Parts: sequence; structure tokens; C-alpha cells
Amino acid sequence: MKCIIPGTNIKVFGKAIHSLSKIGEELYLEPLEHGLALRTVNAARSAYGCFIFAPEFFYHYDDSSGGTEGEMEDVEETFKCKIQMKSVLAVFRSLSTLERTVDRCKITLDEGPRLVFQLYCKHSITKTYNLTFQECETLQAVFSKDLCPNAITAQAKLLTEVVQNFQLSLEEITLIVSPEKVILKNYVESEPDPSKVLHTQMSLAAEEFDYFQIGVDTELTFCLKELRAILAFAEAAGMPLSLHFETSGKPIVFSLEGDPAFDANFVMATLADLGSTQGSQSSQQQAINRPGTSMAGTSKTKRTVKKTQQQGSKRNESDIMENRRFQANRQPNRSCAGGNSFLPMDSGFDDMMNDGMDDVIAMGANEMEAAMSQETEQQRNGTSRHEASPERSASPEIPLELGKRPRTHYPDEKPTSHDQSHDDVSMVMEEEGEEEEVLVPGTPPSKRFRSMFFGISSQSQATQAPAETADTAEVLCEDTDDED
Amino acid sequence: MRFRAKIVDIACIQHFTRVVSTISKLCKTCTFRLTPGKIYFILSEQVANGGVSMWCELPQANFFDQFQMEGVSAEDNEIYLELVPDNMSRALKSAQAAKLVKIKLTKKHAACLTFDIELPSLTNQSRTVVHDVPVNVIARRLWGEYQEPAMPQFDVSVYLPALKTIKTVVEKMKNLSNFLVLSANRNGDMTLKVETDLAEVTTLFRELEIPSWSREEESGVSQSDRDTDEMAEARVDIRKFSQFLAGQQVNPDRIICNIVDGNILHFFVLHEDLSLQYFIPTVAI
Repeated sequence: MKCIIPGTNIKVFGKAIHSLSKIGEELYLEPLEHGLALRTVNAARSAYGCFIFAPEFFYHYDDSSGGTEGEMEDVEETFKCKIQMKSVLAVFRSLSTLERTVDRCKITLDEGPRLVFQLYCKHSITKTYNLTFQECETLQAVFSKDLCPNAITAQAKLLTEVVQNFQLSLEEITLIVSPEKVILKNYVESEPDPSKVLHTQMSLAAEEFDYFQIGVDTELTFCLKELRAILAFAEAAGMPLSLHFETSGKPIVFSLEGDPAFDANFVMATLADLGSTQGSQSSQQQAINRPGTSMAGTSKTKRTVKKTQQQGSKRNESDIMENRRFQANRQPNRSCAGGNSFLPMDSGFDDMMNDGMDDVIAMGANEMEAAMSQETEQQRNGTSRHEASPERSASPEIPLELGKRPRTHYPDEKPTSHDQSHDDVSMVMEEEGEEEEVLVPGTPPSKRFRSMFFGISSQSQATQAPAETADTAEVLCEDTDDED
Repeated sequence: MRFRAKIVDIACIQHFTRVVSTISKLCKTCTFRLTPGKIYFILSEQVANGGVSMWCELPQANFFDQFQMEGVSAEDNEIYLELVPDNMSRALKSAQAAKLVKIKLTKKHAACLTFDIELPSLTNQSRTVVHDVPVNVIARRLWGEYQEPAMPQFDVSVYLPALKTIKTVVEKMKNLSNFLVLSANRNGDMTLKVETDLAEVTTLFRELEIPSWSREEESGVSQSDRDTDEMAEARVDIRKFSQFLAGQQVNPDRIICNIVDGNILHFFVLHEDLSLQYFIPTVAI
């Protein structure tokens, strides 16, 4: 990959990196046919940011993985890497200086040992940064903006002014929307005495927004720090920011569109809590019934039916078998739902980007990601239809997902615990499936940010699973019966 | 118990914000006292915590366009609240361009002083920000602890030199020692001194003005027969002093410094809209 950023665009590029650096520790760089993708995810995997700079953004853009391996040059095999945010930040540290002095910036990534940033400055000075990188698979969040019942577009300045009313130390903010207005509150944890804490609430009339479509009244809580990072970029770029969201526990997507040279999407997990899940249940159904989502609606019903059969048989069968079928059942639905982004409601609006699992696998190596490898295992063992499984486990509250290609890594990972873990995971999947499809409020109470991404989430859910199973299974059956 | 007030004038909002911000820099928690004519910020620290005390009073009419209150009873028509002035200051930060600020005592999740701020917007409808500052209502029987401190029988009283000058000096001295000796005489000489094992640094200010206190205020007997050249001194925690100097956001007209030799430093911040007194006890060597 080789690309050259003109001096006039260097500031935007640098700002993008600054903004991503406030979210994650590592920068994922991937040259795509339609542009250079810069992505990051935070350590908790609850926030994801992605910029795609179109070829127009550059003087010169060549996404090939380097001339030597022409035969390998299909899209899947472009060279991707991740670098330490710190090191790339060093290149773009002082944006005002860069803007004044840099004529162009060349980024080269090939099979060589380094990712090279070359800044061609005034007076024929060339600054070359050779950054070490790690090869990796694509990092991709699973989300779809198109089916979200709620969409708001606001000028970055408006949102910045709103956010300024909140303390810098505030971690999470709650967004409450109704067709007339938007309310933002500081999220107060129950930990220190909530009655001793300053409560702040701001309300904005719908007219203040450039675009305002609320299909479902909802209330969601997400991290403020990342939002500030996004706003910092949006304000500098002078672009309006769009918010797409559904209900609590489902991811919220912030996007910057309108500039042909680049677009940016940020996905943030939202806090799931019991109260609002119940509230959202009916509203979600409402949303399904609204015109325009009918396709999703019907396919949902289909799925529910299948699910019901599934549930019925489930009790008497082994979980593994169940799981297999479960996924088998899913598969056709997926395709009937019409490809990537137009998934039925129940798949959580999550856009499937079938990208590499490698990153997760890599993390599986860290013991912290044990659950992830369970999932992988399950994928391999439970079914070859790996598409369904990670999505299942990921989709309802897990906006981010790393690919779903079958993996053959770690063949011997946890051979003893396998059955057990498999069991748990499949239970979890059930719950989630039920949650989305039958829309039963099965979200466990007080689990902060269940919408964590992949590994962590499945881990935490796996641990929750045994406690919840009995309860939710009951509800699940009742509800499915109703629907029948 | 009821309280409701409104500020419309932006200058008043900003002024009130500066007052609260000054208070928030001087203490972590304080008592907010409301009477029909005045509002007060009161701090009286336990000796164990440093023994600093503060008394700030503002005639409400200088700030508020509307001010209604109903105290505990007709004869005790006052309200005493304990609050964190920093919360109040944060709440008011939202109001820097406000059209209207309403402050009222509410019962929400807990007793709160609610700041209801109306901000201009791009549309007809205003943006509103509501901050609920949690408060504790102080019971009637405890009010006695928050009486105005008596004017000390000072030995020497001088006007402090320009705030900016003295602030710079004290900031530098803070790096050297934890304690500062402030001494002054009735000729208008004042010294600030820090001592370390290796050095002693003294800054001398001359020809400071001497405030003219009326006879009844100068109730002390000791001072009248005091030699004009005799220095009265007080050794205080330099952080408290520097905090006091740095916290001043209100652009005071003058600051009077009264010294009770070896006992206490008393600052009297003069401003047309408010008065602020601050007491720093001396620390023995």
C-alpha cells in the first residue's frame, strides 16, 4: 500500500488520528479498494472508531499489498496491520506545525518490516518515521445505521455546547429521546451516594437538530469520553454529526458523512438495564410495524417460529445438538433477510461485515480472552456455519465483531472444559436470540455495558448464564407460545 | 421552608458566578445561609482541620431580580444549607450566556438547590439546563455554630498591596517552605518571610495604606498604645494564604489585612456588592 496525503489534508488526517487516539491504544490500518481505513477499539471493547479516507483524499492512492505477490492480490488478502497509537501520534503530534510546514505525507506499507510515514516539509526537509507494526486481521464493528428507528443529525457545535455543561470527570451520559425533544443527563452510579452528587440535565427541542427522526422513545447511556473525542474531530471539521440508535443495550452509532473525501463512524456500547429494556420492548415492536421495515418484520416472524420449534425441541436435547440446529435454522433466515445490512430487526441491526477473526484469536491467546476462544471453538465444533454463531452471540448488545471465518487456530484449546463452555455459550446465545427475536426483556439487571464486544462480552455473559438460564428460559417459552 | 430566586441580568449572573467560584476555591463544603435580605457563605472549620473560617455576605438585591423565601418559621425566617460550593460553581458555569437563571430549593432524589438555566438557542424554544446541587438542611438547633465571627482585636491593620503582586511573591515562596510569616506595623510596612534551613527570604512592602477604623470598631485597648514601628506577626500555613489570594475572582476594591500578633490573620475583602472575611489561624513553630 502506498498513499500520499496532500498538505491541505494533513490536518484532517491528523485530527482523525488524534480523535482515534482518545478511544483506543492501537490503530488498525487497512488499505481498501475504496479507501484507507483507520480503525481503533478501546480496551473495554465498548467503543470503536473508524475513518475511511477515500482515494480522492489523496494525491495518490494505491491499495495493493505490494507488487511482489501479485497472485495473492484479491481483496481479502490486502495487507493489514495495527500499530501502537502512541507511535503514530508522534508523527502527527503538533497539527498546527504540520499544517504550516508539511507539503505532503507519504504512507507506505508493504511486506517490509516497517510502516513508513514520510513527511515532506518545506526547505526540502523530509521526516521519516519507521513504525513497527503487527500484522492482523480486519477490525470491524458489527452495526447498521440504516435500520435504526432513531436518527438525529446535529451540528457538532450544538453537541459540543451541550457536552460542556457536564463535568469533565463525568464518565457516562444518558440520552433520552422523544419525538419532541432530547434530554441529556449525567449518568449517576449507585456507588457513592447518588443523593450527594450533582445532577445535571439538559433538554433540547427537536427543532435544534438538522434532522430528527425518533421512531422509538428511548433512553440510553454511553461513555462521554469517546463522545468528546468524536466531537473534537467533528467540530474541527465543521461537520454535522449523525446519531443512529435504537434502545438501551444496543449500540449507538455516530457518523460523519457529507464529505466525499472521507467518512467516519463510531460505535459505542450502551448500558443495558432492566427497566429500560422492558420499556423498549414494545417500542421495538412498534418500530418493526412501521412501514419501511416490513421486510424485517416478516422475517422476524419467521425466525420466531423457527425459534419456537427450536425452543420446543431444545429441552430434550443436548445443548450441542441444539446449538447446531439453532444455527442451522438461522442460516436461511439470514439470507432471506437480504444480505449484509438489511438484517431483520432481531439481529440487532448489526451489519455483518464478515471480517477476520484473527484479532480475537490473537486475544484468545491472552488468557483474558478465554471466552472468546470458547466461542471460536464453538464455531468450529458446533457448526461450520460460523456465520451465525458469532453474530448470535455478538449481536444483541455487542456492536463490534471481528470476523467469522472459520478458524483453525488453537485446535487443542481447553479440550477439557470444552463441553462445559460450549454449553454456557450456547445458553447465552439462546438468551440473546430470545431477547432480540421474541423481545423478551431478558437483559440481566445491573450488568454494566453488556454491550461489550466479542471476547469480553461473551465471557461475562457466559459467567452470567447459569444464573439466568432458568428464569429466562421460562419466559422465553411463554412468549414464543404467545406469538404462535 | 421555601426558596426561589431568579437572575435575569447577564452581568449579575456572571458576578454571582464569580462569587461562588471564589468561595469554591476557598472551601470544599460550606454553609449557605438565606435570609430575606442577604445570602451568606459561611465556613467555620474545626481547629483540627486547620481552623480556617470564612464569612461572606451578599445583599440579595444586588444579584437577584426576584427573591422569595420562607424560613423554618416566622420568627426564624432563615434557611441554613450545607453544600459543596464547587457543585454550585459548576452549575453556574452553564449559565455564562444564559437568558435566565432560576434557583430554587427542591425535594428531588434528595434536598437540592436546583439551578434551572435557560440558554439561548437557534430556535424559538430555549435550551434548558437543570443542575441539582445536593444540599443538607441544617437543623435550627445547630444554627448557633454559624454566627458571624467577632471582629478580632487586631494589633495592626493594613491594606494589602496589589493582589497580583503579592500573589506572585507568595507563589514563589510556596516552593520554599510550608509556612509564611506575615508581619506589619502601623507605619504601613509589611513583610512576607519564609525560612528554610539554608535561606531566609523576606519581601518587604512599604508605605501601605492604613485603614481608618472608627472608634467602636477599634474596640481593642491594646492597639492604641502600641508603638507604630512595632511589628505584629503571624506565622501561617502558606497554602491557606496562597489559596486565599489565588481564589479571588471578584476583583475586590481593597483587601484589608488585620493581624492579631501571634494569633490570627484576618482578611477583609471589600467590594461594593459583597463582603468577605477570611480568618487564618497562626501555626506555632
